Amino acid sequence: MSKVQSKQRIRIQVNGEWRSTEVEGDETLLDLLRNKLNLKGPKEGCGTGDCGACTIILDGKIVPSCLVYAATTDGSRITTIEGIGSAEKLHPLQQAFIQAGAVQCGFCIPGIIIAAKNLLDSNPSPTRTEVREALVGNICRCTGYVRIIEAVMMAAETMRSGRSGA
Amino acid sequence: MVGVAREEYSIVGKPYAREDALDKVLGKPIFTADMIPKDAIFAAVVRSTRPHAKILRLNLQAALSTPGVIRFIDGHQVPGINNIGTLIRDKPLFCQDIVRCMGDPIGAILAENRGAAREGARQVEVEYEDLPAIFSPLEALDPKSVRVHPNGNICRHLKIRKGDVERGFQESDVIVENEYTTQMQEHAQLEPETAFALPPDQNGIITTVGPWQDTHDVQDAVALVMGRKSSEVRALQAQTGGAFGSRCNEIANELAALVCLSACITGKPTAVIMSREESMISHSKRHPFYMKYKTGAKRDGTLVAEEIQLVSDTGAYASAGPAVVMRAIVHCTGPYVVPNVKADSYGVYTNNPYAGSFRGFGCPQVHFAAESQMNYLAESLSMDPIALRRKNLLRPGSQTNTGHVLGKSVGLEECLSKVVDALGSMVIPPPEKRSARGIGVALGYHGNSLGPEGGDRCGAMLSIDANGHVEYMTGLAEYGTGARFAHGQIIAETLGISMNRIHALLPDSLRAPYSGPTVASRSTIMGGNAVLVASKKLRNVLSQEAARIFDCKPEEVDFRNDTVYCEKRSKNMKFDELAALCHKRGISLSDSSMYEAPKCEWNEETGLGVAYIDYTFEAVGTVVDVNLQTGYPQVVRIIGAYDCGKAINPLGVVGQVEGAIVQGLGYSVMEEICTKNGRILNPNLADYFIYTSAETPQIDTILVEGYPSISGPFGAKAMGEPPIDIVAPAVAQAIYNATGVRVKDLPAVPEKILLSKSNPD
Repeated sequence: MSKVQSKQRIRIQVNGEWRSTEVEGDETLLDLLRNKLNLKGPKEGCGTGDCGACTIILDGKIVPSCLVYAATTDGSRITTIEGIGSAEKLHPLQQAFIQAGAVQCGFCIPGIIIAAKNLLDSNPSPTRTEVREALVGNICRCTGYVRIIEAVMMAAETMRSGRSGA
Repeated sequence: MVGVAREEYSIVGKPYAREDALDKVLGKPIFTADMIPKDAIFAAVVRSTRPHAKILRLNLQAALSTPGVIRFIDGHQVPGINNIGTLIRDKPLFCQDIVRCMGDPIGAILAENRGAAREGARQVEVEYEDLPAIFSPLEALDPKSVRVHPNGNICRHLKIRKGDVERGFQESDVIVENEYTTQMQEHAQLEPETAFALPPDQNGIITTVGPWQDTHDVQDAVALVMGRKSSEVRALQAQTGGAFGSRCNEIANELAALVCLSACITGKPTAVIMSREESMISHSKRHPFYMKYKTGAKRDGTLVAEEIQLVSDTGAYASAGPAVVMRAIVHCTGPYVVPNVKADSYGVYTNNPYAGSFRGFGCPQVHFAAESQMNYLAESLSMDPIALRRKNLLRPGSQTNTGHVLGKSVGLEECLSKVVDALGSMVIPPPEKRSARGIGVALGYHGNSLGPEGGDRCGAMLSIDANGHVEYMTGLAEYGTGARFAHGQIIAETLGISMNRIHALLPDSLRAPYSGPTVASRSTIMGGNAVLVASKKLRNVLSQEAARIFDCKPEEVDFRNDTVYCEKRSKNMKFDELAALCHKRGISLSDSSMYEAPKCEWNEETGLGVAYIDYTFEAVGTVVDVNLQTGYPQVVRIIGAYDCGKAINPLGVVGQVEGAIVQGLGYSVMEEICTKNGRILNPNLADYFIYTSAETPQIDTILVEGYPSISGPFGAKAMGEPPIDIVAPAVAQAIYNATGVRVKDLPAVPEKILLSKSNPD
């Protein structure tokens, strides 16, 4: 991706809401989200795209937001952890992560739930192997992944039964 | 009191989801970097790029003319003591004359924003005069070698002298001798080091917020650097993104002192956020070990004598090294009866990156050697390795390595049987083509809490409000393990109330009673005992008041299901009604209590005595498929059985086991901080490999509960660290069974397996 040098104004749709903001040429999408849009869900774990803690959905694809220049995202649609559920109405994944004991320190969790949501959006009935592969870009150092995979399977089932019941 | 029935308790022993999970799944701003004040300036540390050198001069011209840079600070600005060492005061906050390893802090640039601070720090030119450096701990043992510190390179030497090893070897039918090494491991806690500080408030108190593993230690360290009283420093723990030992060493003191110093000098809130690379370069690591083992046994497999030399590389600074030397030697024979032992454990300074606390704390290293030794011995005796272990393992009444005669709380044999049964009944698809399968088993034990490492006490503060809700705080940190929610279950059990009435607070060093460090898997045991004492006291207060209302004796009052009963008088009232009544009548429902652990009697000179009151015992079995073309060892299944005493929250315990096993798998087959002349070659998560979801095998956890501990609440034992101790020897044995290759130097990476296979010794 080529670096955009100068300041520019961009419009992006973040969690369903259009936002207009001025960005520096070397500003990452992660910094824009965290510092200017006050969305602290995506985390900086490495800044080099290796850990997945900053994972967001950008135009339907998961990306590490630390590797994306904000200036290149003009016109894009972005979903962060803040956009998928609330304390009053948790996303089935959020509910399952709590119940399954998939959360320890929690630093990786916003990125992992986003990666899992992206999987379930396109594949509502994943196998355990598919879940493992979908989360390969997200490091968790606390849980050993077992309960995380369990939580995604649980959420997938909840979402399927929700759909068939609707 | 063996075999406490689970039904006896309504809350303890049942799985509960943790209270803080909600904020975490919602992505709430609860970590340090999420809460940095808008007007904060940023600091970035200038670090040594030489392993051993004199600092001749600094050229700050380019740095200070970098846009956004405010100023440079170094040791000259330290008003108190320029040292942040923990067990030994050997580590300067800012090196002024000499740097002893790469990454040593020399000074810091303060700037208007993080980018400018980093750029400024990069622009600081340091002129060095290189000094001869030493990187091999074995060479560093030589008194004539380069000295890292003026008093020589031996940081600590401990020994065990038990029985007569010479006679023991004469009486042995078989003797096996081997050397083993283990590597430097990185914690890779997911949240890099981050901190901020606020300038002194109207009362002169400086506040620092960070992912502190020990708020009281941070408070004391900052006070020392700032030349202030400890009570003038408030350390608040934010939610913390993992630790595994990384945050209880010097790096926490360094960060806190840095931001506090800057906040005092500039009068501005100051923050620091490390990059992953800086994090990996600057915090302590797991000690690499060099181990020589000589083991003698009778023809029937009975162990007779063992002579052991352990050399651990603590790098340029002691950090927790002296305590690692101790824990390593106590566990060095593995969990077996060995009548004659001669062991020496050295912690040695070198100019390598420094090592310190890391989950396991010397135990993973010595278990790898001790268990590998058992496998060699079994082969020499043409004996089944499991039968050899059964013959020698610690049982109730056995004597440990240090001559400690154990009581009833030894569940090792049951752990082994459970693992062997589970391995036998497993159905796994056959290995892929060109792969060979092997099975490995290992045993271990892990002394609970601090033992001889230090005075062991923990305080808790607990209060019940007028709605019958309980808030509590200990000085113990929460960095992911969830131990403080086990504390909540103990409180709820004692007061007969439901978990949704319980709220855990993160430690505030000016409010929390002293609790000791959050290390050594001591949180559930020590904090659990402290909240147990405090909640029993409040229960007594409530009983008195209820007895007055019910017209009965206080001991006839019972607490269950959010209700207070007297069965004799057939009376009851809601817990919250009783709490409200107490508040109306001015009866205090707050308590602050201190729990002190029973003292250990361990002789530092002979290495003999009771090193730890309780031990967690464990067995692991694993199935590994080795790809014969690539050499890659894929762990396909792993089973662990743990004598955990009592699982206060089984969901939390299993989470600790799974996390530790996967961290242990990385240690077994891929994780290694590679250094060359003291420089870390892979300080990033692209080149330092850790397990991802794709490699992680199915993990089966078996909790063995029939052997309650002596000192833990409800009989609980430590479970944070033990499961990492014996993964590597089990995996190495499985690799041997698959390929015939004995890996004696961790990690068992593919190239080692392939090369040994083509060049058998």
